[in-house]
Amino acid sequence: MLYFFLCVLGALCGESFNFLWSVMNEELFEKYYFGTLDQAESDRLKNLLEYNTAVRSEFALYSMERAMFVRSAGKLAGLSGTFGKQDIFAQPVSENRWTGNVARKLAAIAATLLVIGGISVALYYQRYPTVARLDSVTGDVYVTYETNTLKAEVGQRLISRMQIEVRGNQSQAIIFLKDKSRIRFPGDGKMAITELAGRKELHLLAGMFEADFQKQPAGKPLWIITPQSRSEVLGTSLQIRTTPTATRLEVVEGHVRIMRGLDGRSSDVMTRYAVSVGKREDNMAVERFFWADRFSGGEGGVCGTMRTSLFDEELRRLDEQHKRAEMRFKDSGGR
Amino acid sequence: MNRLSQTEVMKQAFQYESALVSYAYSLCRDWSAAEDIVHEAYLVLMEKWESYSPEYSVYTWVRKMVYFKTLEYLRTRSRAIFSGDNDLFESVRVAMEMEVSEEAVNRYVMQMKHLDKCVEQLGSGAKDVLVSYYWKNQSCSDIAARLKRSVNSVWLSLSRIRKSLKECVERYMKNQPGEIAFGTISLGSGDE
Repeated sequence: MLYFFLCVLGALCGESFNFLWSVMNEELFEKYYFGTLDQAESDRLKNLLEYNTAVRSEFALYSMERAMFVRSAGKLAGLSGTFGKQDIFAQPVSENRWTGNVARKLAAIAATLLVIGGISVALYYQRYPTVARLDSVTGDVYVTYETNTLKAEVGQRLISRMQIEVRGNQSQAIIFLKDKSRIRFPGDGKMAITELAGRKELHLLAGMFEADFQKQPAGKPLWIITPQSRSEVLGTSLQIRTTPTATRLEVVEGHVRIMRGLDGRSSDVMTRYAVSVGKREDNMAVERFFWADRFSGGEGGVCGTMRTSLFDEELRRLDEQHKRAEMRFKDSGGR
Repeated sequence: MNRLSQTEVMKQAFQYESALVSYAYSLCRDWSAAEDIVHEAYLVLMEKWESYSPEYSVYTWVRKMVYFKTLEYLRTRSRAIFSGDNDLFESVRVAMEMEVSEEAVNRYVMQMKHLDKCVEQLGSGAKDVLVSYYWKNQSCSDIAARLKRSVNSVWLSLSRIRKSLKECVERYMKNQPGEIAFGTISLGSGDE
């Protein structure tokens, strides 16, 4: 009985031992395939393979079976083939890390570029704000900024200190300020529009323009500056022309305060009144002018050779008066 | 001894493709690389088929090429074989060559064909574990963490999957196709 019991016990122990041994070997084999063997385990496996035929046979069988499972697992994942490398594009779309990662990176790059671009544009417009826009261009119209001159185009954005030049009698530019004030600028003429810290200035350097100005904000009038004068515009339709010796301002509707640059003398010019400002002290009388039918029609309300000739006539009168005064001054010996 | 034609040599060589990939895999432990190695060996074979001698089996002859291509692969990628232990590499090679006879290879090829059918019968959970462990090389700890199971549970599931697949393949080999003994294998709800 005892013998039988010992045999059974021995058999059980043997089976247990074999089972444990098999499990230990399997763990060793798995470590080999995962590449996590340390030096001692590597030596142990090497010795087992060299000197233990059972383990060697077990290892070979284990390896072949493992290869079968790897191949089947690869087929399940859709990535194993008879030849060739792993086809990552065979992965389901939701698991396609390559596409997902690249798409995310591209989206991040695009978003970054958009933000940088947006900031750059904002900074550019902040540094070079739009003060006006060319609504219409006829003939030869040029814009100059610093030393660069370009032919103007319809819709051109005008920034502060940019000069507009209209060449030729047939040429014309229609300009809209930011507040929708409208300026008709026929040839030949040159003007510049500036805006600094909310102060808007139209510098009429040569020629003439007609304008319908919107009502300006309180305390922030628009200024028209010529070589001889400075006019404060509060919301007016007017015409203004300048020559090297005189400036004539005609107010169609509204109120303009004009100041002579020579001595700072100023005059208020109301609707249907005009003033001529020259280089001499006597050239600043405010007078009534008549707005006849021949002055109306067309763009800006003022056009036609008759109006222009009357305007020019007034300026010629002023110029002649100025020349006579100069001659008298020279004859008298400069006293 | 009659020499084989190129077609016959290549045909026999291609029959052992799965066994040769398994052989290469046991040496380099990278399945994709093993497939490439065997592919390159076949390219060499197509050029040097005339050097084949009938005194050796085609399998043994091609396996030799696969061995040299494996060495070339490991050297060109600057990988120290077994982290500096060339002896273990040679021990593995000897074990695979001595213990895997041509008869075993032929049987192995048949088993591979039946295994695909048996794998199809696995449940989705078992397939997931199979792919994660054998294809994605995830450890039992990683799989357990992902599936919120214990490591022992995952290890036991793998053992059950392997055992069931082997039994299924044996049934096919004995011309007794049928379902896997345990039906669809699913992971337990806890430790087993």
